[in-house]
Amino acid sequence: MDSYKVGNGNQHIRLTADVSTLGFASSRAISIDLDSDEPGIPVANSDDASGDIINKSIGTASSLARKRLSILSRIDLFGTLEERKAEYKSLTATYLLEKGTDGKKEFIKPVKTAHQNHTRAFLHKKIDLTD
Amino acid sequence: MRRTFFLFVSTFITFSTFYGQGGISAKLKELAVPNSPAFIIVDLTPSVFQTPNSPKEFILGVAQSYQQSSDGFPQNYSAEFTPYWWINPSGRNVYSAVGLRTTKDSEGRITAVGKENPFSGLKFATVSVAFLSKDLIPDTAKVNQKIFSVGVKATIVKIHSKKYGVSLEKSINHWHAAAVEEFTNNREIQDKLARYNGDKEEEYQQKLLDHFKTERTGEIVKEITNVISQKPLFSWDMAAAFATYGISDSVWRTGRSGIWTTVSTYLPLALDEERNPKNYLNLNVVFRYLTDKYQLNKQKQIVSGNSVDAGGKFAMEFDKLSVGIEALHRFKNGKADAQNRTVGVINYKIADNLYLRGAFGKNFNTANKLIALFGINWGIGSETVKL
Repeated sequence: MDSYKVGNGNQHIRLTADVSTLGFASSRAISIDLDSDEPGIPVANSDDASGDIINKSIGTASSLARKRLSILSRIDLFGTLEERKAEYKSLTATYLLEKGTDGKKEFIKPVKTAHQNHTRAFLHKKIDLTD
Repeated sequence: MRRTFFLFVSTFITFSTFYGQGGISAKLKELAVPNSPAFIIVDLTPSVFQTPNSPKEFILGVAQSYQQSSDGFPQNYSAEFTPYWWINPSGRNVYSAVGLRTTKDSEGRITAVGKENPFSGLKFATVSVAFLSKDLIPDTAKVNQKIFSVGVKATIVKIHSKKYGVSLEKSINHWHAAAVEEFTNNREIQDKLARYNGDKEEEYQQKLLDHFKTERTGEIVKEITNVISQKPLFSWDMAAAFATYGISDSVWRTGRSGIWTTVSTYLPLALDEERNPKNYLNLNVVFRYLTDKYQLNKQKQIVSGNSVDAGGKFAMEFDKLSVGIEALHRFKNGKADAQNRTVGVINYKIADNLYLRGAFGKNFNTANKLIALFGINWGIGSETVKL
């Protein structure tokens, strides 16, 4: 499991998610407290159909400590089946967290799945945020 | 025949192995009639006119000429691929895929989406190879040569109507807004994904996200792909190819090499189709420079020579049927020549993913002057979704 030390201060933790795809992409990041039954709290969305989240504040270090960050990207693929399969194979994403105790830290290799005859794909990354 | 087939199978296996790491394969039903430069250079294609097409990752093509169908099995094979699918450059996004310009700030954030990028087709340049059996040496012996050819092609400029870019940007933004809403509607799924600590995470994600509910995004994607499928008002394509002939089992000689350019326009046939036209009047102009080591001169001697072909094509393209005629005139070694090529080309959509394609007419003064080519397309699809 990937982890990131955010610390305990009031500094804002920043997230970048870079989705590389020719499909229509959108992303949402949530923080969730694994010790409670409360639903996850949305902390960032992509701004356009690139699916990228660029250097967005996801909350203060103290509010995020001991929670889990989940970043889900949904990609609608188009073209023929061969084209969709080719695009699915080359689909990647990288994630960057900043301003915590760990400084800049990059994360790669999200879990990737294809759905509905490769017309849709999802990328999911979980990162535990520690104090 | 067996040797040719063996050559093809060997080549296919080589390709399959080469690309096998990426899991790429081509099934029989996905074979497509080739219109690649590697086929065009040897006049073995329904049309010499190169037009913008869908950048398939990998196409395996077959073509059967009536003159060579002694056992009914095709003797001509080609493979065409788009390297872009494998180089995976950074900064890829859907806007560049559909040909829209974007402006980014220093952090890489898209700050503006602009007009259509007329050079967007360049990145989908293709490479093709072909293995053929055809008599391209105009001597008295009616013997087919083994031919290997390789070619490249690219769409240099592609311009749609002014509304194309505006319409696409609006629809894509519409899709993104709807997609963000759908995250909210599926928040329980993301919560479960986030909480999962077990093994087999991919399997869990696969099952869970099969239930991801969508509302409007599917319809919006259909709208967008309809816009993308519109043919360009103007396009400029370039292609080049080289062919070598197997004179005997161990001797291979350079046969032909050429470079050609095609300028095309597609005019919607009905004004009320402006939003989503399906019927077009297609006009093309082509120039081709060809060097051929095996040309027949007036003294009936085989000599090396250069030629320039110039011509045009007129076609009517309807939803399921396209009918056209193309004519090329040849200038040999800088002088006008009596040779010309006049070919009628017909394509008919029999059913989804099944196309009938034929070409009939007269070729230049090659060993086989009659063109009678027939093929069936599998798996090219309705061509409503093109990049």
